[in-house]
Amino acid sequence: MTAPVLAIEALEAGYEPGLSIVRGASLTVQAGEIVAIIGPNGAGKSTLVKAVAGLVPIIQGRNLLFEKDITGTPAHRMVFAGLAFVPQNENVFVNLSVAENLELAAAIVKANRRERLDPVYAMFPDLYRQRADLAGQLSGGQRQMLAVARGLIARPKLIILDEPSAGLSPKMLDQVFGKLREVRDSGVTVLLVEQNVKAALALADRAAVLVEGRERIVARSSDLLNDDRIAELYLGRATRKDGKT
Amino acid sequence: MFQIVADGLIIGSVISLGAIGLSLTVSIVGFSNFSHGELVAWGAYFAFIVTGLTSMPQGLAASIGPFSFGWGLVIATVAAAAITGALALALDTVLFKRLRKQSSITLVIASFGAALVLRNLLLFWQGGVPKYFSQNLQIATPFLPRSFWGGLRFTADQLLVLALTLATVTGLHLFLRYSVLGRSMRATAANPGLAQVTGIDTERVLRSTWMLGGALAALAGVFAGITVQLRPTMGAELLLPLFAAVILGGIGSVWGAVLGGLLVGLAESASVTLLGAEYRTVAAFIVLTVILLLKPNGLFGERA
Repeated sequence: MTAPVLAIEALEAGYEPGLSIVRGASLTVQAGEIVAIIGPNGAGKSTLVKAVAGLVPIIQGRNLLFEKDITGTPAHRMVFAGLAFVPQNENVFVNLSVAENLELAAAIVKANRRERLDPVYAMFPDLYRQRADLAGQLSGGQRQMLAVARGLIARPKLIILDEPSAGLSPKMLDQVFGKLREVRDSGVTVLLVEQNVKAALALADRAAVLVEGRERIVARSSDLLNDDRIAELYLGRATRKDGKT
Repeated sequence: MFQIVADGLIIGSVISLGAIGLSLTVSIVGFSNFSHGELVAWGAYFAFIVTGLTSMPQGLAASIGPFSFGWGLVIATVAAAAITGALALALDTVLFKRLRKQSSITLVIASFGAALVLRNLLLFWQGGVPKYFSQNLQIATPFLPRSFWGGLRFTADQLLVLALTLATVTGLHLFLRYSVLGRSMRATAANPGLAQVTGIDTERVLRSTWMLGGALAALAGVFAGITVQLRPTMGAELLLPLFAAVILGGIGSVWGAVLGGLLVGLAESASVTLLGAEYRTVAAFIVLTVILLLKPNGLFGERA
């Protein structure tokens, strides 16, 4: 078997020393996969991927990208290592135009602008049409598309998305997730954090259920869909939240 | 009447240059730096000292054409811009960088302290007696006769200050709009976290911002020294007009800071003539208050 794209090994991470949010999580992502991290609120899903992207201090454990240790690599060096990260909120520069957002990403990795932008525009024709508009004027779905497109400009091997469905209508969610499939088919491995379990399991090949900062279950999505433990983890919460039984 | 506008534009040029630097640090580094005025003063004095050093070789001190100063001051201004940039960077490294994880109020108070230290060090080092770049007396050239609305006179130095301010601002605008570092600065101001994951070394951007802000402050200081005089308290006196200009124009906007600076300069110049010099600062803040009532984000403000 070839080396995994990403190997998270017994990772402990948190914003303050002594207050770990991720507590010994491990996960491997193979080339060409879409892997989803799901789990109840406060399980540390976002913190886990932010720690991988270099945005949250790592206390223990390590992350390997193609067997290369990227633990402690500063966030701004990750694109050069082949890892793109798409944050959950405010993931485009609202004061720059669509084109400027993409050009900046290309300029940072010292790449030819046309050569990088053209394939991305081909994948996202809507963005090409709106290239002169300020990113702040885009709809939620288009903004998410731009955030993904920005991540792809650096030609990453792995793209990590923190809750790409946040704030999207069901129709937009379908479009964005459809694009993520295209992204995977173009040869980029996808790791995403999702609150929307149903949509995440429908999209992903495999999923990890994170509970209290550790992976509780890692399995194929199709198996997890019928797993009683998932229902238990989520329905319990949903019942309380909605007041239904 | 015309003279009020002309004087206002000269004062405004100095304020504008200082305000751009302040506006950049406020928006990119993320706190109101109350020691920025001191950088203006230190920049002026650095240039003064370098002028003294370069006056040794014959010819450098001799006036260029119609101006009151020689090539020595030109060299000194470039040197002062570099040294003041380094001073701003040093201030960040020893003080602000260490406090960056704290709330921005901590940084503001720290910058107050830094301002006091810098101001009094300058007073201790250079004394309180005003200094001049040149002892040459300049005669203002009349552009309009005194009989026409009170006339209009400029010295060659004043015209140069106006022209250089315009050139600097235009250059800076192009830099921020088209260069990678300039765009990285705007991106970092808008969203530091996203800038990082895009691959921008935000620490490097912050360092560049301090150096650029310091260099612009030095330029403002030299212009103030040419058109008025050098005093250790010149930074403290400029501080409130600088903030008024930044807020007036909208934080983070280069053209906003320029327009804000010119408006504050005009208000000061008008109040000196019409109300008396003691109302100078008051005039700047009346303009500020009125404009903020109409446009709460400032003239060019992008964000709330």
